[in-house]
Amino acid sequence: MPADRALTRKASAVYAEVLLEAAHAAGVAFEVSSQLEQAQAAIRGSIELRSALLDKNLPVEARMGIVNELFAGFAPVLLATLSVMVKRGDLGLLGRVSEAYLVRAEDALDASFIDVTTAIGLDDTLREKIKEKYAAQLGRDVLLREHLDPSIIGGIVLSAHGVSIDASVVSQLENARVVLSRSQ
Amino acid sequence: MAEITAGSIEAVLQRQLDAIKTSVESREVGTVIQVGDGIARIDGLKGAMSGELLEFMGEGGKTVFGLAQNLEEDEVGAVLLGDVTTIKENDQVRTTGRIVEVPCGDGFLGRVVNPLGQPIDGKGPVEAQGHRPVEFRAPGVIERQGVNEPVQTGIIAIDSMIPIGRGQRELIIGDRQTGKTAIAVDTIINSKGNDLICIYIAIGQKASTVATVVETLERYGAMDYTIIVSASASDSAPLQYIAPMAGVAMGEYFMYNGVDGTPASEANPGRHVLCIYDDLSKQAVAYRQMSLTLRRPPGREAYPGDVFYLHSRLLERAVKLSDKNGAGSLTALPIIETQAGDISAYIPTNVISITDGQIFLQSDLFFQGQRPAVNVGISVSRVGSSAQIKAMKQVAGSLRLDLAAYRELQAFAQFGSDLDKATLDQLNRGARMTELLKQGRYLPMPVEEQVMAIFAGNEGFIDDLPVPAITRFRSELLQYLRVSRPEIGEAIITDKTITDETAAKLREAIVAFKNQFSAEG
Repeated sequence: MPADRALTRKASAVYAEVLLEAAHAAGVAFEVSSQLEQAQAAIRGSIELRSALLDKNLPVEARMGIVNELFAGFAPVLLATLSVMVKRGDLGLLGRVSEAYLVRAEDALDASFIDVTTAIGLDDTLREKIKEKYAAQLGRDVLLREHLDPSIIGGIVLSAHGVSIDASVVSQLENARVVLSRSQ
Repeated sequence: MAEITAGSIEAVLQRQLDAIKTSVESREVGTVIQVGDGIARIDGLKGAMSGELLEFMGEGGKTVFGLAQNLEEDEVGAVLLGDVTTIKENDQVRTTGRIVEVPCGDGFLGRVVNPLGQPIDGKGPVEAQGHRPVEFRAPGVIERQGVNEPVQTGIIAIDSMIPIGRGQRELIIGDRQTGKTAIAVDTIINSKGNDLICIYIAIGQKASTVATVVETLERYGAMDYTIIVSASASDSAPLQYIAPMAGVAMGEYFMYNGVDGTPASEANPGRHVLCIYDDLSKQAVAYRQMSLTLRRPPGREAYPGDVFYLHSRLLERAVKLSDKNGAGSLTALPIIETQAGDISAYIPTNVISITDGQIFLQSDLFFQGQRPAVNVGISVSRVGSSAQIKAMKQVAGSLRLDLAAYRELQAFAQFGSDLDKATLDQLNRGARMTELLKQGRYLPMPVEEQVMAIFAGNEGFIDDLPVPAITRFRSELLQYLRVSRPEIGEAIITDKTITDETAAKLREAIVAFKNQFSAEG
């Protein structure tokens, strides 16, 4: 319903703005963006966890305990925000909050966040090369959120704002497999 | 598959390796939020198009395809077409920029495939000549011409009273076990040598029923020009939903292309196709399931609001193309199953209003032994008579109305015994003509024989025969004419009309046959 949608959007924006302000003050605005996505993926990936955190029959303290224990290594500002969301039953908004936070954090830091996935860790030379290339293209600083995924075998996968450039070895092999299996 | 020799291996390898793209493209990527009931909710994919093919990267790099259906503010609802068990939350989803396509071509004739064009008959891979989108815009007014050629079903009751033309949409409707599929199968069998490619699309049926249809068609040598597209009851709702569209897409390939596979034109005529959708009620049920799990608002009988559009856009693809476009045709015979004869339910009324007529089959007629159990009173073909040959129009012009009047009179006559001679004559003629139109399964009748049989009835040659002897009289008469007087049938086929001379010869032959016919058997 439109009224609900507007309220939801507003509530997500409030969470994102307050979280960003606090994270910025603590100097962890960039790290929190990654941690938010990790939290979102963890909750999305487990039906048991999702049901437990959204179960209103479970005492609030128990649900907050799960959050604090599960995300113990996260920035305290994020933990506090997640606790409030659990308390108010707003954990379903996490996806929207994460999205809103990302947009605001990029503006606040005047930088674009790019996710880089490689099979082995990036070295400084490559890191700088990527930053330089995309900073020139985007016209502002680039901050890399690095992920390791041995299953891509080699190469690199870059993604930002839902658009992905896949130059991984596994994709190239898959492409070759499809072409060869279709040809006569 | 072309044979690769030692001499050609280098060229073959070179060609195939050149086809491998090493360039990197940017693609839109989203994440699965939730998956279940064959439906996935996806975060991201803001640029996804409605109906776009989505690529899900499942467990172990396995790719599953899906169809984007609901484009919402911050998520996309998609239906999954493959192995849904390999997809889980947080899996990646990519847009492809394409809509669902099916492979098609002559190689599919004689094969049983699923709605994705993959063979399921164990006869090995099918070589496709092309691909066609499952959703395709129906031809406009300028690209069409009026229906002017008949589809001969071989069923005397239909070809005479409810004729079907090439490019027409004729609904077959009735309760369960009234012979709907039998009409479809008989039509396919009768199409042998009639330059008609048949596509039988089984939706939500038992696999054993489909196997029986395949076995029957094989027995009568009808699989050579038939494709069976099967989404059985055990297949997922999305597959049952796309099955009719996949079948018609395969049919369109033949209509839009000539025999050589190049686009049809005046010089390169397109082919004629018959698509049988057995049945659209089950497709509507599959679509309802999909829509409800996608959280679309339910409407009448819990069907989504656009179920009419689903069927209208499918049936609008039935067409008789203009000569400039190759003059090919695609005839649609949708089947709808009613519950306890209720044709005022949502889906039956929708499809009745979309089609160019309906063949209504009734349980009580079926159990009275009237087969095919066609209720001639409410069965109609709105465009078919223009596709009937003149000879058939001559003998059967008023047959449907006469029989409908007979049925009314028959009901009325049950209340009294004092009937005048004219009424008694009408009742006698009606009972005998009804008997004359009875026909067994898998016994299609050529159009000239249908004409001769009805001629005999119209001329009063069967009025003095006992009703139980009528069908035997008809088959023995036709056998006699086939063997002793073949020139009469040939004249009807050649002239496409009954000339005075042919009529005189026919009368004389019927009298000669009747003199030696014994009603006692």
